Amino acid sequence: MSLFTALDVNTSGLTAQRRRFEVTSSNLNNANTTRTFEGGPYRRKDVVFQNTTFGNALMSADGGSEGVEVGAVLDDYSTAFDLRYEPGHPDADPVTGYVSYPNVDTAEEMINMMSAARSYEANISAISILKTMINRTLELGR
Amino acid sequence: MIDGRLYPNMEDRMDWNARRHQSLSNNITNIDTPGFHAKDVSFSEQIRLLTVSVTNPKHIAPIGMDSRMQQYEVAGNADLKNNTVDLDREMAEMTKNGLQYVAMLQFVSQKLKTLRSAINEGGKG
Repeated sequence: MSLFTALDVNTSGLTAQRRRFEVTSSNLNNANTTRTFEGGPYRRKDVVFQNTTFGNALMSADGGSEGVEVGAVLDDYSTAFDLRYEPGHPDADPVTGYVSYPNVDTAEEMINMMSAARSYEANISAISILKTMINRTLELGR
Repeated sequence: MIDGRLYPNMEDRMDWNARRHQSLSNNITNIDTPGFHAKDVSFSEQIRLLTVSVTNPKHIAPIGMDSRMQQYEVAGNADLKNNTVDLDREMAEMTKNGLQYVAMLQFVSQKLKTLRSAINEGGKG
């Protein structure tokens, strides 16, 4: 255990939140994408965070160095595609004239993005407190 | 006095502050982790053990530092994701913890100054 291990903990948080930010950006960017490599419209994605232990496993006896990681990036099947009647659209259903748009809710993504930014900032604050602790320790005995 | 641990109590306290910072950091990084429960490291148990002194060689010496630090789950309201991390509490505790650590450093620093003055000035006069 050392002060530097705590730095790794916060770094794992920064990495995870950044990943979440990227996924949310991707959702916003593709809010109107009707063609993907897999075929069909874009399906919104969600990150799943999980608690993780890293470093020396022996240290985890007293709680060890834990952190967070992105466990998975999952496609969201909980909501259906947004159907809009646009018969002139090249991806419209030839029979019904409806176009399937991605299941991306812009407001939800914006809130997600804000939440990720706040959590990122919280980690930054923790790092700056830690930096003060380390720097003051280095000054000891001078 | 010079070799070995100079100020064991202060060192232990600083170790605890460092360990606690890690625990609080972990809570902050896991603020969006579903099912995560906030944790903290206790100090009261430690204080009690610190005052145990070995007066007889047959006595059992106080156990090592790390095993004296007990991690426990903080009671708190779980959100929709069953996560109990309260960001405001964590930030406040972390700031407090950091200041405590710096205060202990200040103490140790003063102690070292005293020691230095004893070394430098002691032979004079």
